[in-house]
Amino acid sequence: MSTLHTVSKAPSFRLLETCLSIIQAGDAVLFIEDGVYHCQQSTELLRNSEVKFYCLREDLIARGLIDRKLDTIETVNTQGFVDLCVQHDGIVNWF
Amino acid sequence: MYGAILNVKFTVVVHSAPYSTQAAASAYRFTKALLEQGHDVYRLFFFGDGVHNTSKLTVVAQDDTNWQQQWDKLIELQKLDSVVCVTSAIKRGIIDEAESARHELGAVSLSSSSEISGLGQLIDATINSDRVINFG
Repeated sequence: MSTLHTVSKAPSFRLLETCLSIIQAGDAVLFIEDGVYHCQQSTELLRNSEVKFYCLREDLIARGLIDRKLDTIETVNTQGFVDLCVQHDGIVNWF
Repeated sequence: MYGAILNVKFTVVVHSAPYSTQAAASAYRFTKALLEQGHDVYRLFFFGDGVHNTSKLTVVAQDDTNWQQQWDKLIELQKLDSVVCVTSAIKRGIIDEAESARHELGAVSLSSSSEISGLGQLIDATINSDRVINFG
């Protein structure tokens, strides 16, 4: 049983902290919309090796962050977003 | 395990109005993508401020996207089941023929591609879809 979590607000909303406090090993986090601002900050939060982090390519490009993204975070396009939803058993959306 | 899943039934719940946040646009893009990949939409559910996506009484500048019209076209073209929460809708002026007649309003604002119904439709969708995704 794995869950895909989407985070769609900027880091100042502190959604990622709450999300990671209940996350399980094998889950994934996808940053979308203003959530992609998490991808340029090297924080302790993103060093959880049991969780895979992704971000939505279109939203990164829209914010001029495509070249500033951390290497540890994989980018996916909207098709990849759909695939992630299919690959996980459930979806939780943080907004 | 997931290699065996060829076709997944999604329910997409939209909580935000167009032009207020990016959420409605994200939901639209996601819905189009999942259909293009051969998956199905079990139901679209517009909830809270999300009901504004189903208004037919909007005018948008030519260089801007008319999200209400985009949803209407997608729902019509793909024959999607599109439900608008009644409690959210009528207090925001999203009115179909039945509500217009019941409350003697003399106007209809809901796009004909969507229908007004209750939260029971969201419960049904949660039970019968493979995945439920919320955009808000």
